[in-house]
Amino acid sequence: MPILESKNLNIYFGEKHVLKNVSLAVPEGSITAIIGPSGCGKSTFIRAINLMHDLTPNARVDGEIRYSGKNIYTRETNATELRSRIGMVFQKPNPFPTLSIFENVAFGPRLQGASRSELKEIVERSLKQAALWEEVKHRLNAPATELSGGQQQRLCIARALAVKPQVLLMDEPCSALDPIATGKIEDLIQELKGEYTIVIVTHNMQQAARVSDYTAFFYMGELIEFGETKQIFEKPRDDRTEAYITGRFG
Amino acid sequence: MTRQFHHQLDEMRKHVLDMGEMAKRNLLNGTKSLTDLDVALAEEVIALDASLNKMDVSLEAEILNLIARHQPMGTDLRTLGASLKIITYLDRIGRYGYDIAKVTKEFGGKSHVRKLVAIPLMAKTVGEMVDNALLAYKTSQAQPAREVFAMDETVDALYDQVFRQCVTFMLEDPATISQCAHYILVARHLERAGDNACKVAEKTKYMITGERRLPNY
Repeated sequence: MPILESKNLNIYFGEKHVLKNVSLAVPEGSITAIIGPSGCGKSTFIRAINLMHDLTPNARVDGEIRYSGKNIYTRETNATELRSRIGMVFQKPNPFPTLSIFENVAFGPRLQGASRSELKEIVERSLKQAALWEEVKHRLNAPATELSGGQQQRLCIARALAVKPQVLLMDEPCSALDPIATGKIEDLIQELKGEYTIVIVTHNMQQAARVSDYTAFFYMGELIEFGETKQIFEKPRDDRTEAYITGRFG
Repeated sequence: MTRQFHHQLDEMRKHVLDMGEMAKRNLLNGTKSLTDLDVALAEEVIALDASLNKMDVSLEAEILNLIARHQPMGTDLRTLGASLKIITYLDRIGRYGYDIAKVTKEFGGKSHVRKLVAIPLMAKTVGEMVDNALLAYKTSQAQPAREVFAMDETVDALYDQVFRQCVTFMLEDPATISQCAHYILVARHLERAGDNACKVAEKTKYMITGERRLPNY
């Protein structure tokens, strides 16, 4: 059973139909990349998995997104609980600016009631998982804003991992980073694979080709093609995918 | 940037086609030099082999440069990957022309045992195979490439024919052994050139369709 599955998902922002009948199953423990031109609906899709459109005025969601077999678009869904199972990392690193490195990572587990000793352990484990521990272990009480952009992004990943999610959603996590910091995040994504299911939205096709097992191509709100990354980038089935990945679009 | 890349890709394809023409010409001229025992033509073929080699090296650099700079995908990736292999096969085809031209020189004033028929026919067929493979490469139509595999059976049958005839000649008259040994060698070169033409066709077909042909063994 796929850990995440959208079924006939339609999303409207007011009159605008931005996601059209998207049905997509994400295999557990894999890395799935979502690619497509600007405005194709890829970020809208990933945000829907985290119930983020609840906060958007005039947004309407039809269809289903199933997480572990259960539709999350029902009244019974507890958004906070769901977001602890499905973490999200955004385009721009967004650590809590007034909190220290330690407190940024400890924030979620503390809300969940973790004890002080547990927190220490969770922070260390999460920072290690995010490949940041060695760089910050001697300055855990320093403000998070003192870190470089790449480090801040890894801190945000550590913060997401601290609440032990099953799924990690990443919306253009490297677009604000230089190639060295991007490389570190990509290595990290590979290391997290298996233990976590990762869905990454990226503008960078080469990045999708480098890091993912599966790739979905969105165009004008539709899912055009979904398949193994190797197949999508070597021999796409749909002419529109071919046109996009070879830069012959339009 | 993308338009520039596709322009460079088209240029690269033209260079591969030029190399293919040159490889074919060398193979045909090498064989003609033997058929006509034309040492001057053989010298010409031998000299041209270096140019073919240079094309192979410069095209390899051109292709790797395009991959490194543009990280292509889809058809573009297959075109570059296939082309990188194709230039090696073309270089070998041309090299067989060189090898045959060397045989012409080694003939050293001897005449043919009898008029050569199967060997020129083998060269002609391999030339047509290269033409078909290059036509497919040029037009991105798989059909001409598919025909190459059937043509290779003719080349193989001709090779068997040369081999058997030569053995018969050698048994009947040991004085022909030297020439016949050369004929067998040349027929073998042509048969191998045919196999390389098949590889060009196979990679071209992959470039166009994305399907890989599994070897028949």
